[in-house]
Amino acid sequence: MATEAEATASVVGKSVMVVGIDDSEHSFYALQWTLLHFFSPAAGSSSPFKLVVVSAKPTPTSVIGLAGPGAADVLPFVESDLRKISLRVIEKAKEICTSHSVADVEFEVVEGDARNVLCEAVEKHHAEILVVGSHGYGAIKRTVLGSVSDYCAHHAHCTVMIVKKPKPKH
Amino acid sequence: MADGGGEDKKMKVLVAVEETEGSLYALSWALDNLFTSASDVPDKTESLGRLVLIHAQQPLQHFMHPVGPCMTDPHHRSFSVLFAVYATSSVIDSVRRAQEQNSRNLLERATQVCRSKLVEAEMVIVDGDPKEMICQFAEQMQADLLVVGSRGLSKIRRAILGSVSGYCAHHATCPVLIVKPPKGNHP
Repeated sequence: MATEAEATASVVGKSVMVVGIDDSEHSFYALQWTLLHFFSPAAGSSSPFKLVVVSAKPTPTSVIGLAGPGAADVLPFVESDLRKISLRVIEKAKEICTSHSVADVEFEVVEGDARNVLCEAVEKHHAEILVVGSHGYGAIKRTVLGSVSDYCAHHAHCTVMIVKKPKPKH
Repeated sequence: MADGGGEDKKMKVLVAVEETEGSLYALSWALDNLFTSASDVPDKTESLGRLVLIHAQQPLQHFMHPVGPCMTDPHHRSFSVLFAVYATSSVIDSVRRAQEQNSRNLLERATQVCRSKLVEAEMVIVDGDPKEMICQFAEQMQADLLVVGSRGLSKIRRAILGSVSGYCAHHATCPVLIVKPPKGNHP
């Protein structure tokens, strides 16, 4: 029974794992942790997941906030800055993947709010599991800034894994 | 960072088991996806790490609130005041025994699921508030991953009833995996 199921799985395609990353140490740690535990070389090519790395690029208008005089002038600079940041993020993610010898990866940069981008990516790829890092905000920061991991945990239609960077013990 | 090949994959996985359907689904999801291996070894945990099942029992209340007016004296029907009744020790014992039996049945079912997927699991029962006990235990055993089910409650119900998965997501020190029930069950 089990072997039959495995055979059909390889024919249909592997289940998809979406990893959300942004320009923070926490999300790179999450990516590394995931690669370490789910894609180790010992599993070889028989790892059951296909990896899709999604980076959300915030829209320039959301970064600038309230429009004031001169906002229109600043827009192109902010736009190019954000593009540079997201390229750098993807580059770093690519490096991490190759250092763990994981080749079967797709990289995506989507513009928009991270929360929506990640949930939409899950829908689009019919992902089995979504992995996000966590900034480890306290309760107040979370209420003010909003928590992407929180939103995804409640709204994504698939299993969500929240990877935390361990706090250094003093 | 990756020193050995096979060793790094060994994970200590803690799975929280409750009486909800979502919880057993979470367990079988975790077994399917975390403990897969190409060959059918008699015990997959040997090569792939430890699986621990934890069930938290709510602490027993030592007195019981009657739901309606307590009529100890049929002649005094005018008394419609609710008052707490202290339970005798024999009642407490039987409730506790029933609770333990319940937990045991639950863990039995969970072990059955594990065994059917060729995974040996250890069982732990703790007393106390589920959210805190699960997080504490995860820290104690230095779990690599904590798996919880999710009831898929709406925002309001979650605020009132409290969410174990939400609490664990914020307070656990290790990565948390929240398994949602399959799409058919959306309210």
